[in-house]
Order: sequence, then C-alpha cells, then structure tokens
Amino acid sequence: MESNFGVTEAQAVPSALDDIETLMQVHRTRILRFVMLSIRDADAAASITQDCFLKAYRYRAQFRGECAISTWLIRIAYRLICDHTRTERFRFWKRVQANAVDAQEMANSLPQGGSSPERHAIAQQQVQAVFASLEHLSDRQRAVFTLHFIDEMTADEIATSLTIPVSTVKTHLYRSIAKMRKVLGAQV
Amino acid sequence: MNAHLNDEAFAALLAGEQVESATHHLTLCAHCRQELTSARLALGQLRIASIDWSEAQQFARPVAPAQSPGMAWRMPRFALAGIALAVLIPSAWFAHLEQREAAQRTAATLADHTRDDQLLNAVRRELAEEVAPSMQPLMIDQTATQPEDAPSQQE
Repeated sequence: MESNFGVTEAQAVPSALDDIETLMQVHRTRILRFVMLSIRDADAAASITQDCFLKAYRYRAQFRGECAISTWLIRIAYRLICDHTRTERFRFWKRVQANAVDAQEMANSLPQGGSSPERHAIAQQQVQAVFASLEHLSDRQRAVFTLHFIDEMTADEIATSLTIPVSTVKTHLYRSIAKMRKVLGAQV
Repeated sequence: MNAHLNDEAFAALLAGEQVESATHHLTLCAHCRQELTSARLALGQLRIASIDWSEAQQFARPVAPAQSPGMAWRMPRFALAGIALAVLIPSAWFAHLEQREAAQRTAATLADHTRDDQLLNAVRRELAEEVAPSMQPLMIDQTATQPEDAPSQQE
C-alpha cells in the first residue's frame, strides 16, 4: 500500500519503532507540544499526535536511521499539521475559535515556583501574549519558531525535520521574530 | 548610536547568533537590551508553560487504541450534520406527502361510503313498500279479469 510519504507499507522490521508504546512514552509529550503550538487546538493536537505515532508505526520501514527518531516524528507531525490546516473545516473553526481560552490554559500551566503572585501574573500575561501572537505567523514560520524556541532545535535540525534548506529556516525564523516583535510591541 | 536594533539584528540575537555590531549596540542601548531580555524571558516562560501543559496532557488524555486513526478530526462535524439533514429533509418531505395522500384517500373513502349508504337506503325504501309501483298495474288487471261465475270463498 502506498502511503502519503511515498513509501510502501512497513514489513516486520525489528527496530526501536516496533514498540509503539515505548515510542509514545518517550516522544509523545514533545510531539504533542509541537502540534499544540502549531494549531492551538488541544483536541485536534491530541488526534494529530496519535495519528503521527500510528503512521510512524505503520510506515516504520521508511525510517533508515539517517536522522533522530524525534526528527522523523516531527516531520510526520508537520505533514499531518499541513494536511489538517489545509482543510476548510479547520479554517472555519479557526475563525470562530476563541483563541484566548487556549492562551489562558497555556498561561495557567506556568508554574509559580518561588516567584511572587505579582511576578507570576506578569509572567502569565507574557505567556498569553506570546502564545496569542503565534496566530499572526504563517504555518511554516510557526513551526520553525516553535521548534527553535520551544524545542531548542538548531537550524540544521529544523531543516532536516521540515525538509527545507537551512537558509529557508533562518529566513522563516527571522521573519517570525520580526512579526512577533511588531505584534507584541512593548509587551515583550 | 541613535537607531535601535533593526528586525534582522534583533532576530539574529534572539536566535542566538553572534552579530558583532548588534552585540556592540546592546552594550550602549538600554532600550534594546531591555527589549531583548524581555523577549528571551517571555519565550522561556512560554517554553516552560508549554512543557508543563504537554506533560499534564500526557496523564489527562490517555491514548485510546483507535480503529481508524485520525477519523475523529478528519470527519468534519458539519459534514455529519449535512448528511443528517440530507437524510432528514427528504424523509420529512416524503412523510408529509404520505400524510397528504392518506388524507385524500380517507376523504374519498368517506364519500364512497356516503354514496353507498344513500343507495342502500333507497333500496330499503323500495323493498319496504307493500306493492312495488311497477307491480300495481298488474294487481289492477288481475281484479278486472276475474270471472263472474267464479266461486266465492265465502260460499
């Protein structure tokens, strides 16, 4: 069976990808985070993340070990995100969605630690502002921005994950920062 | 230096690149230094918040084995609603047509019954008469043709 990744369906190849439960335990949090910040929809992020692992398991014969498993998973997740965002349904729901709810949810996840309530409140506001400003980035800019600043990936790793040149990664990164700077203004 | 960092230089510094002129500018410009520090802080906080959020989801949203992966988000809800409407509207229309036809059939049946009753009543009236009007001339003729010498029953 031909997949949308241009490969045939996996045969029984013994590898680290065979154990899908362990694979998910190790990588699910990171993939979920990347998808969530890309589409800012918790339910859809959970579905796409699950789909990502099922696809990885199904087409595991494609993985040649030329990159890290996490990089390969991010590549699959990114393609699923692109498929998802291309649908009219997503555009419709994106318009009617109250983005502030997710931004608030994300801000509430910020641990208080040892900071004062005032400092914590300010930090939460900053998280909300940055999270909401992701809306103004293009899909690719958002992916590059997230992978660089949240997953702390280098430009080379991002280029491998998204299968784009390093120079394009840098261009998207610079443009996304410029947009964020413009949108956030004095807040950041 | 009067001008602040342009977007390119600011982005390069935020992305972690070393740009000599931009770095030198930071030592002189408190505004840009403050802006860069705030941006780094905010992004770091978003990173912490998102990590905590995703780890919380790990436990809050257990992954159930799916028969058909991704169908939940692939099947649009409004498409399902459209399918439901496509089924319900013709059903309601056909139900309406059937009701109308049934009402028409009932009315026709009632009219037939009324006509049948009228006909039966007419037949009953005719049967109820002692001598049918068509038989009356025959009865008169029988009296007229009776022979005079016919023996009387009284005799």
